[in-house]
Amino acid sequence: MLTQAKNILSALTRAGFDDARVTITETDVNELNIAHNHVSLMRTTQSQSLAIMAIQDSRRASASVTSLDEAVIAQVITDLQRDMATSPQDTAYAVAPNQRGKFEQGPQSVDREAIAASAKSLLETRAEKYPTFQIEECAIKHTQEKTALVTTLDTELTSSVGSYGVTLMGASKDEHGSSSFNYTSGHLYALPERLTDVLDLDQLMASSVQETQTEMVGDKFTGEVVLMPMAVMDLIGWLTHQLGDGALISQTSVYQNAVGDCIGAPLLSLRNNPQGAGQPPFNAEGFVIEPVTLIDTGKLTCQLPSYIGSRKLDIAYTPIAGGWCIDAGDVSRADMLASTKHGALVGRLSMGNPAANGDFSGVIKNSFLLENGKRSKALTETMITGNITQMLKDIQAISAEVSDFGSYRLPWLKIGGLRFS
Amino acid sequence: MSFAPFTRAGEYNEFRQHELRKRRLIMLDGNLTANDSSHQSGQSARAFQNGYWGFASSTGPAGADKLGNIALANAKAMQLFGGKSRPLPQGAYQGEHGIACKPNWSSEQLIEWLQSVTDLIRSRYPKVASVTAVALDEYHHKYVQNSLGAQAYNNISRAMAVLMLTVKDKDDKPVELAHIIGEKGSFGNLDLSMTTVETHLDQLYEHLLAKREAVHAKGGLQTVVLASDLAGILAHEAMGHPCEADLVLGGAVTGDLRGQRIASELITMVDFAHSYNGEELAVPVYADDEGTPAQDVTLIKNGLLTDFMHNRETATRFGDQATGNARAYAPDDEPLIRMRNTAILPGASKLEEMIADVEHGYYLMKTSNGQADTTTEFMFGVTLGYEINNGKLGRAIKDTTLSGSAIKMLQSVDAVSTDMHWKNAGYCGKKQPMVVSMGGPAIRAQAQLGGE
Repeated sequence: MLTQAKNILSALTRAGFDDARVTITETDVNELNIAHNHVSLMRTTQSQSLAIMAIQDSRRASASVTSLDEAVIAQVITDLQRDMATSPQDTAYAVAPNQRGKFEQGPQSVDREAIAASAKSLLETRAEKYPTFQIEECAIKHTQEKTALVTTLDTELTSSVGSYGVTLMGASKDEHGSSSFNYTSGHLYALPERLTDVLDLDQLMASSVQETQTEMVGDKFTGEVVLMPMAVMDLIGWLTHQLGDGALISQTSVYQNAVGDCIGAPLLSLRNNPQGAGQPPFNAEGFVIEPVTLIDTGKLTCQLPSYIGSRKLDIAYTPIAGGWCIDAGDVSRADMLASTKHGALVGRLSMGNPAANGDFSGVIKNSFLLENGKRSKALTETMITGNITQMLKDIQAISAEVSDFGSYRLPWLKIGGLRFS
Repeated sequence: MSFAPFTRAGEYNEFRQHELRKRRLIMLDGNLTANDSSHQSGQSARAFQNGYWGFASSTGPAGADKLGNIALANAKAMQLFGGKSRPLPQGAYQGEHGIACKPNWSSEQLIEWLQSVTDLIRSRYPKVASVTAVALDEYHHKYVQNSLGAQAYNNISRAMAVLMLTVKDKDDKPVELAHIIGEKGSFGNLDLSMTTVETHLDQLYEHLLAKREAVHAKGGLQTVVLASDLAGILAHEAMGHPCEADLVLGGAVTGDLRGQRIASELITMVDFAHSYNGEELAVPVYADDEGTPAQDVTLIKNGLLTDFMHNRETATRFGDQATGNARAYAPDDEPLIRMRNTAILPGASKLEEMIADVEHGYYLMKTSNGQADTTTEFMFGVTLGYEINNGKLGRAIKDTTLSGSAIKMLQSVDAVSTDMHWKNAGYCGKKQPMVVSMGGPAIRAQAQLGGE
């Protein structure tokens, strides 16, 4: 792969491009699917892709194809020349310089028996402990991804990353009715003996079977939320979007000039998670991922533009690849609930994209009312309204327990000041 | 790419050759931040044996026989979980259907158009702080064969331009609003003339200036008039997903409600296979990716829940006909039950009268993403709306979320307009993304609105 990538890079240079990046990826997936509480499908896929980004005279274009035939590559090069002809010039366009490394991580071959055993254990646990929980779909898979990435500025990277992945979606149904669906997903280096021991799967099913009887929240009030990991991911997603190219280049980010500012509660430290299962050792731009603390005890330490975005904006570049973790707090999840006077334990948020200024309103799903420190009825048709910039500052407690999803490791967050309706 | 011999060693076999081409160009304040094209091509085989499916795919020239054998071996490997043969419906479609695309625009032409639109916005709308102009297109070519004799070619093509303007409010916070011009076919099928674009942008800018001064909606149960632009997403999210047979098997509340009244008599909702009123729709599916002849599915008829959308396997389980809803997005995806062109049908009211009859409520005009649920509790984001006070439109409202039990909301519908608006933008998400279209008239109902 590496030799082939170098050959294509040479062809691009010969074709007159000033700079280029070539990435070849080969991916093998073995996936077992469960549908409606029964094993349904075994899936084997083999794919390859070639991705090229090329720069000529400060103009840029990129293309990807699934064929490595010489004729196809020649056509891609011709198409790139055509596609960039009227592209605006921008001196910020550049490729990764001087990145080197060979990486291998995770299980390098599939254990299909382990996948089958995991499926069996999941189905047995469901049938024995949570028979009213219906697995609508579940995929247990092994992914083996080999990548070679080279640039004209002496970057030469290869990786072989293996991991197991699990996604599950389901809902409960009994004589009272149906619950909202819930889902989870994550990556693992090895499949455990009992699948429900990981990715909060047991907790998801245990909560779901209690959600078939729901009530509305009643009168409007302002209260507290205890956000479980799927809801915490929504906050992180909005935050990282605000720190990325789109918001920064358009000068519309609420964190445009906020590096060094306190944008979160002092309890909050947010880091990337390069050691997480399935995490790539380098990003698609061709930079090796190093540990980063994005928010250090509430203070924003950097922004997250792309390499080209950072050159354009003349700000520091921080390579990341996606996964995040929040440092554990010092309050147990049980104490967190016990200290909540009036609010909700929120499994996930179902909402439109939060506004650019952080305003949002969302339906809380897989959620329970919290009153005077006690978890009571499961909620339906309940919305919360607030502002994410304010929520980050209003974090009152972070749980000591952390849930590991491979790419994400997240505790529960307790936040005040949300309007319930 | 064309039809080819394939393995027929299992109880049932499928072979699909699939090509997917996409382009994405993004101009952000005159900076071309994306100028990408992609081309995926591959073959896949699926086999059904003793109640289990096996699937195999490759982007390389693996060959139909090899993939078919791997798929069958995968299905056989599942026999350790037990196994019971189940007959599948026998419908098999033969035919070829392609969307009539006008000559497409080159990337050069698109870049010039994005730049022209950006320049127009900068010169014409002084309060705009940022402009994002996006051009997206995608083309699916699928050759589907199966051991029942199906031999079907389907082509799905669409092009789309997204124009998003941002202004700053009095607190210097960003306020955004977007307009989408999209249609089946290629960019050649879209009216992208500057005269037309100017008309769209004038309206968008007027709304954006109103939104700049927007107030929070009042949270809770409200009377809402959904513009026809929103009825489609209501159809798709609120009752479309809960009527997918795999979600019904997964515990959706609709499983117990077939034949019962779940909506006002004014509501009839259909998932159209390929045509409506004699015209081909944006996502024409004549045969699905299992080779099943596609048929319209009436989900709600005059308020009664009637049918579900099926693939071959769920049709067997329910004792229904397969409806042609099994669709795969990418070459290495297996077919899942997906909607095609889902719509609420028009009624007899006029939009102006529907608004005029509301004492206090909201007129909701533009939406962002949405989500469905097994309980039929749906939500979708609202990016443009106005207060209604004593039958007249008032102040704009800030971004909010509309939600509620679809059954309660559809039962509360007391007016449905005569007009019909179809929309083909974005993706439906469900393990795989999927191109779908949605449509409907304006609707007046009671629903939960997020806000103060």
